[in-house]
Amino acid sequence: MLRVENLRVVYQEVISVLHGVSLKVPDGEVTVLLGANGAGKTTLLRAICGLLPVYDGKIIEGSVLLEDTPLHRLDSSTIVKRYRTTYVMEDRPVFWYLTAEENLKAAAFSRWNREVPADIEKVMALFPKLVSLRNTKAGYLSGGEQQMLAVGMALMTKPKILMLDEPSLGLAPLIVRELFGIIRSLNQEGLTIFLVEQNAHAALSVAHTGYVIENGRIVLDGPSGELITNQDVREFYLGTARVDQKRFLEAKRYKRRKRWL
Amino acid sequence: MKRSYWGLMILICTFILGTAGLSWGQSKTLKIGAPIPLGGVGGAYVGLGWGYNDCQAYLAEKGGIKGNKVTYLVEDNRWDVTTEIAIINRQLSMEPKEELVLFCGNLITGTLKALSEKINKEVRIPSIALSFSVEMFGKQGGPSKYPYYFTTGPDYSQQIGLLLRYIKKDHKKDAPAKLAVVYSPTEYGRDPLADMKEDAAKLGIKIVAEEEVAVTASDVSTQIINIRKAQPDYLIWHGFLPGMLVAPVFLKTARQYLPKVPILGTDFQTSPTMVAAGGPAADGIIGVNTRVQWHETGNPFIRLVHEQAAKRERKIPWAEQSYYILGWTMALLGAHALDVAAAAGDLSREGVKKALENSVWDFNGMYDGRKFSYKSHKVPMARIYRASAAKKEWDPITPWLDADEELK
Amino acid sequence: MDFFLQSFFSGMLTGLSYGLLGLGLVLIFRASEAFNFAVGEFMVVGGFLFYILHFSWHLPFLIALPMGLLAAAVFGAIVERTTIKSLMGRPALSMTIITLGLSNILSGGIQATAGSNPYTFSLDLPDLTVEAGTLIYPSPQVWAGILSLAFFSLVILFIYRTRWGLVIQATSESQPKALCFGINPQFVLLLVWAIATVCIGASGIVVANLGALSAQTSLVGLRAIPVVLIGGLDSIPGALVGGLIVGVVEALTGAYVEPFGLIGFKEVVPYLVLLITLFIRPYGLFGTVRIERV
Repeated sequence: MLRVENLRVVYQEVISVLHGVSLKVPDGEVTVLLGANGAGKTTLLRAICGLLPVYDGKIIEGSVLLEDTPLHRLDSSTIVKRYRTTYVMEDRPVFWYLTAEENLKAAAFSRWNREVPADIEKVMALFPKLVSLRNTKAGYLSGGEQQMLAVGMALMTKPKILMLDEPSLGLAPLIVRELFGIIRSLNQEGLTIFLVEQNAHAALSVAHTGYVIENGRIVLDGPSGELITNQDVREFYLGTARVDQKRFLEAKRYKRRKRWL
Repeated sequence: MKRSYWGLMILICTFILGTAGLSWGQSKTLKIGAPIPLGGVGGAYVGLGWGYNDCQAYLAEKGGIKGNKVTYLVEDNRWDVTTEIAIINRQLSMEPKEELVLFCGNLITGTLKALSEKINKEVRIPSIALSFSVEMFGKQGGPSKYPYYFTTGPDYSQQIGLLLRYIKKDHKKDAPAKLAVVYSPTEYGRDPLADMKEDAAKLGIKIVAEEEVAVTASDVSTQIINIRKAQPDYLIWHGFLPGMLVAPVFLKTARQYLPKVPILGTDFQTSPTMVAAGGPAADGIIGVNTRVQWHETGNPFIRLVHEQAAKRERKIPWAEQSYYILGWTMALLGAHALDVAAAAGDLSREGVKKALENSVWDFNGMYDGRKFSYKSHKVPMARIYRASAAKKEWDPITPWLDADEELK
Repeated sequence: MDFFLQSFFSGMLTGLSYGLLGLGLVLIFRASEAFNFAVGEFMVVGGFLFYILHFSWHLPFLIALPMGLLAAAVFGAIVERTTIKSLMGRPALSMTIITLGLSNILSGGIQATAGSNPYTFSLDLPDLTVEAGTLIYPSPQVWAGILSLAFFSLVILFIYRTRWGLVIQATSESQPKALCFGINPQFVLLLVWAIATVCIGASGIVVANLGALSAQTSLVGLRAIPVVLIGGLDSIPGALVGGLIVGVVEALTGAYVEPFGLIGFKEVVPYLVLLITLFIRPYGLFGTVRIERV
């Protein structure tokens, strides 16, 4: 189980982004983190993966523990290779100037062995669209194809925990549905998935547990079934606002209420 | 606290007064300014510096000149005219007139040109240069125009004159000999060209190609290809120093593209370093040189140098040998001038100049016992040598030639 | 006509060694986003490492060459480790400035240890002089061209046909993305600098064979600047094309323009060509063509 405990992260030594975040990613489940732009979702993923130094960020308090190993002290390639935790960055992290197949090979580099060609074929089977695009430079692929390729590349690293950062961003609803179907099936094969999303509909439909983060703090958590029916989640993330609301006084209710919980 | 403060003051005052008192009764130190290239684009010639230092020690052992200490003010001019001028100006302004009575060092052709007014008319300090510039020491120049300039060999056009006569003798075909010339675009390089053209015309040698090669060039193939087009019989090169990278590049390229053309060079192109750097490409090249070679131990001058080097326990790596000899030559010449001046009783700048002009010296036996007069402000002795790549040496192929006689 | 052919092909041969030099710069630029101003000093260091093995210790050429280049690779790796180090998130300019300082330190170090006088450098290679009528291409020039082309090809094969090469390409494109997939950019950068130093060192060896080896040989490294800027700073084929262009242009200028009194012009002409090229193609002839999806 991946545990984040009281994590505080700052950027450039002065911008505080996470203010004591704690959550758990149980093995074999899909956990989702919901939040608006700027809430700190990507920062949290970077912190787990050891990518903060690239962006001039630092964990100043708290820990990230995989079973009992403190991941926050390790560098990212160890986390990927030894602890099998792979992070798929937001905005489709593929190498544009390499072909789809070369991308998969590059992703497999850190754990290269004889099974790699077979693994490539497995990824192709999972994402049939990529078969015809094997020799096309990844920069020319459409958004959905790139996202599929990115997930495929992550699979090439043989992860035990897969972390996806807003995979649905900018994708058409049909593609989103396809993608999340694949995510569900991957989880059913035993892969732990930590999903960060703005698209709460799609995310909650595949998740077991969910968290809501706001301004660097976790404000809500629970099984996905509860979250879907939670009034605040419905109002602020699922868009099902109460039709009869006409007064701003009532709109402030969410924030006011949260202060006393 | 107070006690130690006063104690310190007393100590300092004693020290100052003491040293002042000590220097009161000193005989003066004779200083010879010596800017030489110890680094820079022309190459690093540390052997030169050693020669000066060892000569200074040698003179000190002999008791100096009439009891006066002799110091050589050796400084690195980086083979750069601006730097050298700055050194000379600084030494002139810092040292008292009675002490700094002579310059004896590199004195690049460009420096001589720039400082000719100052040295010959204003300051009037005799200066012995390593430049054999035609402008200062040739037909148009000479002691009348530059009374305080002296040099240690025949001027460049005399050197080239010797080479041209060698070519004339060597060329066996009926048609006039065709000559290509390679020079560097510096004062030093361009210096003898005009005279050379006149001389060649007189001797019936045709100049078919002239190419400029920069001293920092690393590739000379275009120039050599141009020369190849002209199909010369001989090639003269001038304007370079043994420490420059362009020298072996030139030798190799010339050998490759012009395999049958003999290459002849002036004084500074004729150095063992040149032979070594050029490798097999340098085998058989010919040059004029005014120095003796390290391996000629029969020569009394060389014996002196060897002895002194052994005395100082100095191991001279073969690359520095010719520069060491050069250093000794220059330093001894300077010392000799001071000797003569002291004998005549006048150790001022004027006195040293007169001493140089009127001396008739055999250079400690360097020139097979022949003496030469310094009236022309030049040492007119030179030999023609051929290089042996295997031995990394130059072998003389003529006896000592007096350039003044040969070129009449 | 003969004269033209003589100059042209002579220039091509020289251009090949420029191309190898340029390749070293391009590799470093693509991976570290830094322009290595110490390229000249790297040449000299490579040349001296080989010199010690072959001329001082008398190891045969076929042993001294790979060992010398290996030593050069180690040198490049040490430089990368101590001065550059994956400075992700830092501006690329700081790395370029570091190479400027590095160039001074190396230059001083070389002159302090080896002096500034030339060292004999004549490789005893089989004579490949090409003579055809009045044309002549001396053996050292021919060897320079052949060896440069050989090294160039080896590097290209490595980058485009092996998986380490693939990883170098990926990391050169984006270090954060590479990090996510478990690729260690520190290791990749080390590898790139080592390979680039081998290229530059090999170029130094073939150039030294044309004359001699001295601290001044580093001036040739400056020729690499127009080579890579004309070809495109991040383009590998561009380095070869840029090298050939500069080599030929220099040779033809020396042959046809200089006799009219413009001595030294051939040093200037590559920069003029560069200026013109940049007007037409601001990123160099083969510089990055932006991929844009419509």
